[in-house]
Amino acid sequence: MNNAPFEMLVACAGAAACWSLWFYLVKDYRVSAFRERLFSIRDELFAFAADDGVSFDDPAYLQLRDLINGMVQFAHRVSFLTLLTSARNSSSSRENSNQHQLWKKSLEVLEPAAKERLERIHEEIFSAYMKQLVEGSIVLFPTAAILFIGFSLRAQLKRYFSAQETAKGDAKIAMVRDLARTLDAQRLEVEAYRESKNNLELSIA
Amino acid sequence: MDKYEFQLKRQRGETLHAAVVRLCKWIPIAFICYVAYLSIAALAGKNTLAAFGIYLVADLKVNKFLSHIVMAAFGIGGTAYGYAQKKLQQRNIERMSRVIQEFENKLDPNRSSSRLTIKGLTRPEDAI
Repeated sequence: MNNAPFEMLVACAGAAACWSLWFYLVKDYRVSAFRERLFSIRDELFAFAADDGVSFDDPAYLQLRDLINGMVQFAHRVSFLTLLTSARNSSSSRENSNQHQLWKKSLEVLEPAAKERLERIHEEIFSAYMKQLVEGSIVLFPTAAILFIGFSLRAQLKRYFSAQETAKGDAKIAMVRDLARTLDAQRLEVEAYRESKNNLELSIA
Repeated sequence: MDKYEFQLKRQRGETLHAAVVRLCKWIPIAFICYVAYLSIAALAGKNTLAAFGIYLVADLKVNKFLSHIVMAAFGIGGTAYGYAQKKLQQRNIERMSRVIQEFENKLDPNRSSSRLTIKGLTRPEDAI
């Protein structure tokens, strides 16, 4: 008796189980975990404002909180596919709708300590976002792994050839900082500002 | 670009995105069903369900059979445990979120919200 069709049927049942596990359980879990991370960052921001680090009415605080809220609201849309389609559909009126630039401008009037803290919180948001984006994509994950190896090697070589003793750098943080400098934050934050951006662009249109 | 033209462009983009997301989800399961169909078609008229049953349990020794039962119980039990934990977490969020909201509103009356449901889930209108 030829067992190949039987074996294929059993394999199909296994593949269907994996499919339902990914689309109905793992994906939901990943979104919840990402939201949890963002809520803890939002709590950190709230605690900083409650300790009089920055006013609750300060535009820089409000805009950063809106960014976190937007990311929480649309956390289920964070994927490489969404990034590609939203980048394709982003408006041409970028100067008027660039919320990231508005936030940067709001930072300028703050005390250096408050500015630095808010920038660090923004970096944490960016890091959480990149983690969610990269770990959920079969295209980005291997690319990020190669980049990470490159950054680790560079950090090791730098330490080896450097005359003075340097602090042990974290390659992952260095990679995220480098990406934050290189990538256009507006492109990544476009989903988080969906609702406000819609209204703003409609008023411009 | 006028208001309606902009809305039309945005709607077109949204439709394209929704279509691509749905295709990425349903194409794999459609392929799995197609392969299963081919397997059943190859068996049609040659074998019976009884033969499939015999294939599954043939050369199964007691220890192998037990290991299959244990692994199945582990998989189903693990999934059920995860699902129950998820429901428990949602109930916990529902209970705690009101307290946190009240506390934060005292310090910041204009506090903005993440616009999730009371259980911390995506609103149906934001779902795609």
